[in-house]
Amino acid sequence: MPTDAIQKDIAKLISRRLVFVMGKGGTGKTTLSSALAFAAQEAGKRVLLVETEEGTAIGRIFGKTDLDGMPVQVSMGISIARVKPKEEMTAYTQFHVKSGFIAKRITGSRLFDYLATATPGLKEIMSLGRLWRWESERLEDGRYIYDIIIVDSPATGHVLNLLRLPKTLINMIRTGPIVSQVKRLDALLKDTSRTALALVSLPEELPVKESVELMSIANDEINMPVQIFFLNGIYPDLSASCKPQSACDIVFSDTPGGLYDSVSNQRAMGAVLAAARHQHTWRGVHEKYIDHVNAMASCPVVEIPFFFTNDMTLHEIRRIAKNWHTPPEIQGGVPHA
Amino acid sequence: MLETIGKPGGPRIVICCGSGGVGKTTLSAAIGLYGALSGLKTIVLTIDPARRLADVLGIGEFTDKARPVPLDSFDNVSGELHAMMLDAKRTFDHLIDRYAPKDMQPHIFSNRYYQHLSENMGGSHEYMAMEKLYEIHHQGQWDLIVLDTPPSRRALDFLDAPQRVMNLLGHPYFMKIVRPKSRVGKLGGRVFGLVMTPFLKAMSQVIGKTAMEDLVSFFSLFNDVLLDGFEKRARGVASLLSDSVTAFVAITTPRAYPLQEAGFFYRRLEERGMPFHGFIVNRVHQADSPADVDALFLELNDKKVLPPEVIRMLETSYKRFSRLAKSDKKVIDQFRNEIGAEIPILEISMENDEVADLESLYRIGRRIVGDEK
Repeated sequence: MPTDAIQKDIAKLISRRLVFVMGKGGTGKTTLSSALAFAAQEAGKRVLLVETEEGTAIGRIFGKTDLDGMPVQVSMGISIARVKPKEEMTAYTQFHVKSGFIAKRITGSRLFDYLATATPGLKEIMSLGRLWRWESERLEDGRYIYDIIIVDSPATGHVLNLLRLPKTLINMIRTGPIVSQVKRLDALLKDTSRTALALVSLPEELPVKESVELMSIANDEINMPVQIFFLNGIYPDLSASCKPQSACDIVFSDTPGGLYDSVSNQRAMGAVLAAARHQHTWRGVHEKYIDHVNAMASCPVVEIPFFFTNDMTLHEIRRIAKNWHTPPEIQGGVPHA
Repeated sequence: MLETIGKPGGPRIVICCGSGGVGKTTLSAAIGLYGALSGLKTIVLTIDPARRLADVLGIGEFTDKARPVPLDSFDNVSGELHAMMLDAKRTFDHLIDRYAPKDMQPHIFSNRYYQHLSENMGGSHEYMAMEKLYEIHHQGQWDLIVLDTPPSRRALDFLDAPQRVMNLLGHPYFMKIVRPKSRVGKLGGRVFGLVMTPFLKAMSQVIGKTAMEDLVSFFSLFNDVLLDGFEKRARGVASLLSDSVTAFVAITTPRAYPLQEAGFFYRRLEERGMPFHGFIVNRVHQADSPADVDALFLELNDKKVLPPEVIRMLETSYKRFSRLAKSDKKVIDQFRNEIGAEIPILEISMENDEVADLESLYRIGRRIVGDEK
């Protein structure tokens, strides 16, 4: 996909007020959420980057481990915060139950703990309520405090609950103060000019399968179509530098006998060829899933190169955002020497 | 690890824990295949079946009935391998069917709370996986059962069974508050005469009156008709899991998130004295790093063995790969420090391709068990 098309897609995505970044655990949601925050920052926006209950990864990346519902500024134009549903629910209960004594008894009881986790959608609605309040907060001059709120969403199953929330809640609860809140929230979530879903997946069978399922649920059942599909961790295409092709045919073949004969250090040659062959074969696997996702997705598919490390630094994450503006110097990310 | 599979006194149940996307299902199948080829009648239970693995196993697709895996490509096979998918909802319904009186069943099945609970509430899938395991174990027809657990932290909630199972269903707290004030009408399955104490009234202001009524009637039904059966069952499951016929392994890849999850599983199992056999770190990139690779690139350039672009490509790809291998090693070393040297941590190197056939699956199985002749 050409860079200017990607640039346009990203620009459209970050023009929203609320972006949910979703995907299986370990697919790189936190990395992509942070990269989008940097992209929005570059575009001159005030960003709130939010982690949800189960992860602490955003805080870790930015060196703040004790995040709570109070946004902390970590960079010019970027603040981070964490949604704690239990806290939200306590505040909500205290607000709605007139008697302070009973409210305290409720929020202090184990039953309350149980209900907070077990009542379908309760946790999610509390989290959404928090996001919604952030979304509507304004400065004195009438501008929004945050131009965009990016949510590093919980793992897929929980996100499904969150997306199904309006329907589930209206079915389960039907009356009570929550329902009226749900309806207003619903309007924000279903408005594709204000809210967007971004999906992150790896080019592997199960993550792709799950993402495609999630996409069809979001598009068809919940009516919140996925706006962008990030395929993360794509291996570079080594054969792009193969001139002539025949040279690479030897390099990638299982029996590059002649190559061994022409060098003195055969062990080094073996190590180098093994590394190249590994990346070449996996690139083939990745291409298969890239094609599959492109065929299945009704939204733009953006490939994110693999950075050949297990822990991405802020510098590298920032580079993902930069690559959306300018073509990457070397496909596949540049290794640190 | 699991060296005694297929030998007298070896494990009869292997439970693979770990987060999603680490290759848990594949490794479970590899362990199962190893068991089958060691002469055991083996079944692999999975919750997250990959299409490709079904192809590798030659079973068409995973279903909730055991399907035999054709092993004709191996010589002298005396064992069997079967594969089966877990269907949590169906297992749950099956339990109700077994323990609830026939006339109460429709009320339970039509309760919105039950429907939600059995379909998607956290914890029920995990518990049902154990339930199925227990059932299959007690059928007595398998020498080895390999269970690929659901990929969530709740996968171990059953360890506190039976209390945990009750908690999972929200039972004890709820009953304490609601029980004396409610009666279940046998006809409607709804609550009659629920006395709304100020506490309950306030609570229903928070969660809504209908939801409250559904909860109360579900738990009342549960208490009246299901409790004994469930408790007995849960106790049976718990004792099976702590028995020495069972072996837990935690599967991960060398990445932060799955390692954190594997560590979590280990600590939970350890706390409860469960038979934990070790960690399998899957997809480790192992690079051979000879000292004089730089000299090799000089030599390749000097002798013009390959075009310069191709040599540059080789150099870049080697550096990248070494970087990744170093990064993998670093996180595994960190993990080893955290966990302690006495716990086995087995590394499986990243294959050069997706697992494509039973032979490569068997190779992985042999590697896990340490039987690499």
